[in-house]
Amino acid sequence: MSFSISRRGFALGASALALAACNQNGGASGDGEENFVNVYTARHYDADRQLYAAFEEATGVQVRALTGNAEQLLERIRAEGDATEADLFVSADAGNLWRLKDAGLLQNVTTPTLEQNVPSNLRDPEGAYWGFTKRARVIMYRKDAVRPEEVATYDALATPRFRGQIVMRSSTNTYQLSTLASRIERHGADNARQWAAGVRANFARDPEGSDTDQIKAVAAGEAQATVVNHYYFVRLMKSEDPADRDVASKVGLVFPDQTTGGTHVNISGGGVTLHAKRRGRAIQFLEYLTGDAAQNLIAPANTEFPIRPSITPAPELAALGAFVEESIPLDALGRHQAEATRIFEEVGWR
Amino acid sequence: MATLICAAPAVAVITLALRPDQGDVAFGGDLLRDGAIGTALVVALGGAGAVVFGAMAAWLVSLCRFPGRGVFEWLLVIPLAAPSYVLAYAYTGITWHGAAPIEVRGLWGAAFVYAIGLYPYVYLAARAAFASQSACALEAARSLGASPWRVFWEVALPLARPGIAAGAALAMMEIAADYGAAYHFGLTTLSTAVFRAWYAHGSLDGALQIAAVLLLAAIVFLIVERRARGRAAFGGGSSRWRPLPRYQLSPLPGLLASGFCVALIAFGAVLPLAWLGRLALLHGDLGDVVQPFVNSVILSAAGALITLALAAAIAVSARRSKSIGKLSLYGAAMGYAAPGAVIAMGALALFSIAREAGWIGGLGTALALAALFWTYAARFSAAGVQPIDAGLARLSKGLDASARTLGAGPWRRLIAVDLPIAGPSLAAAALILFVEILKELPATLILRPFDFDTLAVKAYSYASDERLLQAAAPALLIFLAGLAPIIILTRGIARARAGQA
Amino acid sequence: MSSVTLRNVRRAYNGAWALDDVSLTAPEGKVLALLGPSGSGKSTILRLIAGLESPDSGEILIGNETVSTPGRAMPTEQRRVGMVFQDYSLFPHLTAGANVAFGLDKLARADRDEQALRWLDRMGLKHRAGAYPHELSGGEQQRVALARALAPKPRAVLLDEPFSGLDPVLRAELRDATLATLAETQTTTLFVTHDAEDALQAADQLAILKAGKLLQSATPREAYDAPASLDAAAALGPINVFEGVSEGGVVRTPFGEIASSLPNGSRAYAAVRAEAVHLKPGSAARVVDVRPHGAHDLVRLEAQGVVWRALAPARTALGERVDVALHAAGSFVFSA
Repeated sequence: MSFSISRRGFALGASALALAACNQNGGASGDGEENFVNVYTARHYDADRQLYAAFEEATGVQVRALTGNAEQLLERIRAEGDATEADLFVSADAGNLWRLKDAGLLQNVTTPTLEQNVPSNLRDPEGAYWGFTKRARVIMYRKDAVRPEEVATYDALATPRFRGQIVMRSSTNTYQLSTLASRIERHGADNARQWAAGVRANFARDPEGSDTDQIKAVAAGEAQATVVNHYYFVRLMKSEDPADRDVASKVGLVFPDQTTGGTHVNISGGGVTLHAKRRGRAIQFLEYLTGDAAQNLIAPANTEFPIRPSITPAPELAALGAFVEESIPLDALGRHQAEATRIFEEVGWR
Repeated sequence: MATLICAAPAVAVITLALRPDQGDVAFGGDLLRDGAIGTALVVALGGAGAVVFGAMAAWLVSLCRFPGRGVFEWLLVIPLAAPSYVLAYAYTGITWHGAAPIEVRGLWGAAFVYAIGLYPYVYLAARAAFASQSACALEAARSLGASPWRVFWEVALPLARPGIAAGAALAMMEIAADYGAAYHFGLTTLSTAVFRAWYAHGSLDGALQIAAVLLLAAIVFLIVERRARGRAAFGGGSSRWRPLPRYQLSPLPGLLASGFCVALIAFGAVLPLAWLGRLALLHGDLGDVVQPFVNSVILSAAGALITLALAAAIAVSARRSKSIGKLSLYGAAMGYAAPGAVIAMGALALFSIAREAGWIGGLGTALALAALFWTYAARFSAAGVQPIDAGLARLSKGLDASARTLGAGPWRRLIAVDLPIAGPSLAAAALILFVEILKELPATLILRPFDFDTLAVKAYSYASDERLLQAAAPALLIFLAGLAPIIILTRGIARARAGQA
Repeated sequence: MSSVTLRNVRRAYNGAWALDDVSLTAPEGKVLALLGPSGSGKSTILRLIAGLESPDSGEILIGNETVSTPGRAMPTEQRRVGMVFQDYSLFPHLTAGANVAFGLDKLARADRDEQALRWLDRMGLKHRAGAYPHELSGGEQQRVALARALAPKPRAVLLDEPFSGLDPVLRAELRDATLATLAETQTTTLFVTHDAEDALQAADQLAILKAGKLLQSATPREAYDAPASLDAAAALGPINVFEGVSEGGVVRTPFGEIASSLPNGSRAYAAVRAEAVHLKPGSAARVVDVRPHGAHDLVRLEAQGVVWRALAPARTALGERVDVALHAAGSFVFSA
């Protein structure tokens, strides 16, 4: 009895599967590669959908997306092996892209268009992944308690001036890891450890919540300063919720390290998978993402910075002013990730 | 067989974690210790809260008479439709910085959110237990001059203990498995440690090791629970059906009882719903939620049916043979205590092994979907086995034998006897599974087909991007989509009571 | 209707014999009572006949058809054997009428309902046809269960402790009504009981079991008057036992001599039914306890330190001294 019920369970599953499998086939065209490209993406912004539509309109190539968490998408690609349907992997953090490369799941790709579109500090030196938007890791401070000069550098947050006045996101978060990885690259591990320990000593509470939650905590007076990605602040400014706008009005934004090496930046980027079935389509889409048309569409929609300085950012970003960004090899964010994690754990910044 | 299917992904996780060829995972110690302490704390606090809320509420609506009782009876189940991570976000928003007298945060905040969101498991099980209690035992206690309070503590509660324990076990395993709310509240639990090892250390091996600890702890927990329950296996008492005698509460206690129920419903459903509704309205644009809604319903229905079939097979075999049956219950239940993403990795690993062995081609979309349903089965069959088992308990061997001596073959026995009698329980199991899968996120996120968004995926996408306003509409819809089955479920239980022998 | 025959049937549970080499026949159209204490294997016999279990060896026949051999068992549902379970096992989701109609599914719907109603009517329950089991009294449930078992015209009907859950008055009433119905329908019946009175009153034929062994198969009369063993004698009512020696064709007990055919000097059990112990005024024994027992008194007598029981018609006073006569028809000697 037990066996027959199980078999029936499978029969049900099989019919559901058949349906899904049918939906996945189709769209083959005559020119060698099928007329679509499959993207595993850890970005899940509505704006990306508009972008896919625009790409299809421009090229006739359909973009099929599977959104998800970067680490899990990585495992799925690994498990799928050479049968993977993924042609392009997209992530909102260079560290995750590096992990894929490190796991041997990306292939190196270089085209003149990509080289021309993407500045060299915003791509993998070997071409395994290419940035297409840029985000800055900024300091947010409460206007009625802190003067902007007091938070001009990341170092400032580790000084006794801010004892009990810093809130931070968990170090499980990849942006946080990349921030420390960049410091390891620039100043060495010991410096990074001292800095992390200093910030840790200044915590107003244990890490919890999202970037936005950190900004809100600062605005509410729970702490005086935090570090977040710049666009979370911009979003609060533009929010439909008056409470969010109120939060934004209480805090100020600083691009740190303007005279000492530049603000830490990260990318959203993509890389062609090792077993891509539609390599040409994937490259075509990557070139499109870094091209002018897409840059004018995608960067403003998520208030990220365009990948090239020559493209005008969204008005809200322009209002924040120009800033100096750090110049380190992008793959440093990945290479130092493991060490960054160890340091965070050593100093008790969970 | 069914047990093997359900247990395989979890077993795969444990096996992978114990592989001899992997290096020492240096961070294991601290993370593991802190995670274990955190999990123990939050499971104990949240579980205790769920038991208190659930058992009290069940007692009140089952055995007392007070204003609004009939409506509360089914309204009290509604929080089941709310995923813990949605409640967590909602309460942070609601009580954020001075908006409420108390801020919901940290360990206590998490415990509160779990208790208010998961007490319906205890409530459902306890209510069923109270409902099946012999009216005679309660009447006997009253005739001996026991106060309602004493009847509750010394007769009704001990009699209902196995049911309450079963509900509490479900709630506690759900707490142990939860990642979203625990991470949101900044807790270090075994579940968050799993993802810390995975995401921050980039070590899936480390993640699997911690997950294996979680799974093994779940088995130990289940064995202890079963043992405790085994000793307290009471018969149904008088087999004759009689409406349970209800205490008429005097005005003040009656009002308190109503207030208690109102508070549970308000905190578990109305308040978070209202908060989500406000955000959705603020945002105005609902976005594309129709297709995700349809996808959610299809996926949940298919997943619920497959899991139900497997759970039924497990429950049946558990009744047939004692030792193997028990083993299968543990095997099936184990997955319930682990985060869905980990179980999904177990299923993926099994497919990888099959691929390397050349049994199957690569893991294309169809196989990924198979892995997804497999993960659902591994993760949730425990939630289905319990109600099914309760239904099977109503099928005495005598009834089956009766039907056979009256010339009924296997099919006729199934259709004319087994299904009508166990049917309501099967339906209840199916509905619970439906709601569980509706709320499920991580496995769905990782294993679903291209361009196939569900409500939970949609809500997660926005929430992980910290766009709570946009996340509100899909989250609200998860809630609402879960409501219909839950209302059917509870009304069904109320009706089924009348047909009991 | 058909006879039911067991030939050399064995059945073990966990290494112990629940039935050990049992052979017996329930004659066609007659009532066979299986009498024995719990654990004697009597219910196992019913389950084997119904096909709910299979024998480890031996065979079972219904009429001339072999329904069970160790290798092959006809499925229960094809055996056409009706059964009334101890707890009645009425389907809780079906009305009394639908319960009775359950086994009539080969008939057209109208016939089925009509027949079910006829059976309920026969049991005096026509007015309860629409009631659910939980709305019926215990006696009503028993009658519905019997009607349900008889309605499909089984080749034999098996009753498992059918009267055990009922109060004594109802019990006798129901037993007689059931017997009347069974006699009327000429149904081959096997019924299991641990109550000697039920067995003696109801059965045409008696099978006495203990610990998986058949002690005796006989008519109630034979079994009562000529028990095959001490255990068989004890199964049919209160009995006094004295362990002694057979000498000169008698076994001497404190209450008198009992004729014995055992060789001189052999150890023997003397067994005397309580109703075979007759009292008259005298001095040999002393009355130590008197309890009313229906029309009789149950009297305890003491002589030479041994206490026996007697069922005495006349009023006897506590402490009175009496002489004792042992009625030969209720006195037996078995080799020890």
